[in-house]
Amino acid sequence: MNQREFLDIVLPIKDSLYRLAKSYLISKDEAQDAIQEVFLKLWKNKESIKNYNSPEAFAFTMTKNYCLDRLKSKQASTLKIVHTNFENRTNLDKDIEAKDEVSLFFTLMQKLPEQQKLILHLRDVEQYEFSEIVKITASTQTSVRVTLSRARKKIKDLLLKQYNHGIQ
Amino acid sequence: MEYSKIKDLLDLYFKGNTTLAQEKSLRTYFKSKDVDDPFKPYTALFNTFDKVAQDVFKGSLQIPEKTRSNQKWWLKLAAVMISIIGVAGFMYSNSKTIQEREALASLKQSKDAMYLMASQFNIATQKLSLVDKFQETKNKYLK
Repeated sequence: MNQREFLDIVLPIKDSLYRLAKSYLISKDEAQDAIQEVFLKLWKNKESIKNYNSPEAFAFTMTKNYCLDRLKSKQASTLKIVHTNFENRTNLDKDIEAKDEVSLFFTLMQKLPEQQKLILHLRDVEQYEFSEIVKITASTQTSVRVTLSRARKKIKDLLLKQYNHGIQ
Repeated sequence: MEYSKIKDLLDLYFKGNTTLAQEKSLRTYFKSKDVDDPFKPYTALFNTFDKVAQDVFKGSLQIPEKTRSNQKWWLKLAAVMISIIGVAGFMYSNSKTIQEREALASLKQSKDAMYLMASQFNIATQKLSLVDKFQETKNKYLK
C-alpha cells in the first residue's frame, strides 16, 4: 500500500475520527494529538489494514482504544479540565448558548458507558447507517439497536432531569 | 409537522428504530422556532448533534515518507550482508594461510632433507676419486 492509497482511505474519515476522539477526550488539542498518533499507528500497520473487511472500522476501533488508553493514563487526568470548544461564532449570545448546549452534550456523553457512547456518537453525530455501525463495533444489528436505544433513553432521562431542575 | 407525528417519531427514536431520514426530519423540526412545549427539553440535544458534527480536524497530518523507510530497510540489509561477507571472507582467507604455512613448512623440511642427501652424495663421490687413484697405482705396479 503506498501513501496515495493510504490517504484515500484515511483522509475522508479524518474528521469523523477527530470528532470521536474529541467526544472521549473533550479537549481539542488532546484530540488532535490523538488523531496524529492514531494516523502514525495506522501508517505503521498499513499492510495489515488491507486484511480487514473495513479499513474505516479498523481506524475507528483504533481511535476508540487509543482514547481510552489516554484517559486511563495519568497524563490525561489533568486534561479533562481543559475545555476549548467551538469558537468562530460572531454573535456573543449565540456563542455562549452554543457553548452551553455543546458542553451539556459532552457532559451527558461522559455519563454513558463506552459502547453506548460510541454507538450514539456514530449514529447521531456521524449519521452512519446501522450496517456501517455493525462493521465498526463488530456486533450485530440487534445489539446495536438495543445499545443505541439505551443510550438515547439515558440521555433523555438526564436531559429531562436537567430541564426540570432548570425550571424549578 | 403536527404534534402526534413528532411524538411517534420521538418514540421510535428512543427505541432506536428510526431511519436516517426520520432522524433528519426530527432535526429539522427541532431547528424550527415553533417547537411544541413538551418537546422543548430535546431541542438542545438535536441541535447539538449538528454542531458537534461540524467540528473538523484542523491539524496537519505528518506521515513519514515511504521512500525513507524503504531506504533504511535496504541500508540495514546491505550493512548486514557486508558484515557477513567480511567476516566469512576474513575467516576463509585466514584458514588458507594456515594451510599454506603448513605446506611451506613441509616443503622446507623436504628440501632440507634433499640438501642433506645431496651433500652426503658429494662426500661419497669425492671418496670415489680415491678409488680411481687406487686403480692407477695398482696398474703401475702390476703390469
